[in-house]
Amino acid sequence: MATDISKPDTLLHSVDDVIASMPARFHPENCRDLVATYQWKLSQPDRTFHISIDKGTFRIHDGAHPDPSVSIESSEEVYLKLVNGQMKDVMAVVTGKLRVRGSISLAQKLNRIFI
Amino acid sequence: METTLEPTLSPQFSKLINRLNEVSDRKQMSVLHDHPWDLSPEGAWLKKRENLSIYGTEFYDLATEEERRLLSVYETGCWWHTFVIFENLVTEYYMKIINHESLAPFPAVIKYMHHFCREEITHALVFRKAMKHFSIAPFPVPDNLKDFYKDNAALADFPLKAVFLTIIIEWFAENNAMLDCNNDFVSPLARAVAVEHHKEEARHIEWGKSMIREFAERVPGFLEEAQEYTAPFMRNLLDMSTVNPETYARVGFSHPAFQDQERLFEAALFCENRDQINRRIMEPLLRFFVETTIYTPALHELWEAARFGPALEQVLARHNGRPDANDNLLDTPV
Ligand SMILES: [Fe+2]
Ligand SMILES: [Fe+2]
Repeated sequence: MATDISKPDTLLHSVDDVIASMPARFHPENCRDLVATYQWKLSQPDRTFHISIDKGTFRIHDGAHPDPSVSIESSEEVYLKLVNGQMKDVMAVVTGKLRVRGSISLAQKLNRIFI
Repeated sequence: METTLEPTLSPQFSKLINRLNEVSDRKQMSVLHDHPWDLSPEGAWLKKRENLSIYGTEFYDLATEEERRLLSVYETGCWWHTFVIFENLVTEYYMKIINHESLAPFPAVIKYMHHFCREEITHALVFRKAMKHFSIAPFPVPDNLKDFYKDNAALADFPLKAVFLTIIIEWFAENNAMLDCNNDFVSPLARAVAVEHHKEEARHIEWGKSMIREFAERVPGFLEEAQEYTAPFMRNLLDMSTVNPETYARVGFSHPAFQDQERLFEAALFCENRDQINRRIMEPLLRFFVETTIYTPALHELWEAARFGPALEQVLARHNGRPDANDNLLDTPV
């Protein structure tokens, strides 16, 4: 997680907005060979969902996955700031507002899957 | 990753091992005798001011001179503590490898690993003693660094990836330590801690580089994996070791501007001064990554994304990927 997430054209105001925007932001050409599960564990308010990537396709699921490849933990506020390009992910990491668990190489691929 | 090594070592590796064994046989650091422990800790600077994380930012001007000095104490103390943790881990991993017996056919390698462990144990004791000398309490390891290491250095019987990551961490930490102390302003004890460590650590780095070269050539999958995770791993390390909420909190800056943590961190991470320091720290490592093809042009995008693009282009242009004899800052004046 070392890059800036590029700013979407319109601001996303809720987690539902973000999820609804995912099909349009999805870049299958950047995950043709990838099979992985990314999980978001948000707090304030609590909400957990995960996305399974399977060779250029993706599916969103509510709730926790038993063994995600990458798990991303932050408050909802920080998550929305990151998605909207209002906070750099490196800043969220070094200030302890974002916790990324799991494989670092898979984590950084995420920035190229949903742009 | 389970590993079997062919029962032969390359001639270069054998030569290196013999040389390293000879030097370690001759002299190793002493906790008691190799540092001026009688010097007073009062008023000491433990790193040069130009390498303070806030140097070159507006926050440097807002800090008092005593706060700057304290920052030099805590930022260095935090590094010392990181060394204590990682050098203990290296010892643990190496003992595990020795006990695993897959290296039994190579007695010279085992002998050096014993030397290595003895040296790392002494180093950790010296760093700990230096922390006590300057009344620096241990730093909690930030959760992110802990997770990051735990999740990315999974332990097998033969903890290859952990060894690789630890070597890389130590190499970059060592370059950083050498750059921080090469100035008369810095306490002679703090300089001795860095310089005496460097004498032995430079050998560990040479050894580590050879290990990595052997892994890359012989262990299936090692290189391909390293090509993917090294860039983001290095970037995280650099950023996490530059700014640390705990060191700032311990200084307790009086100016209200320091309350805005995000601005403070952003200023420190992205200032020109830090960029120049990071380039110097990373240059030998980047050269090595190019030489071993841990950096490959096919995955240049990953290095760009990790903000190593310009530094890499500089390295590629200047050295064209040739290994360089002096690539662990051995000749950095101190
Ligand atoms: Fe070491
Ligand atoms: Fe050491």
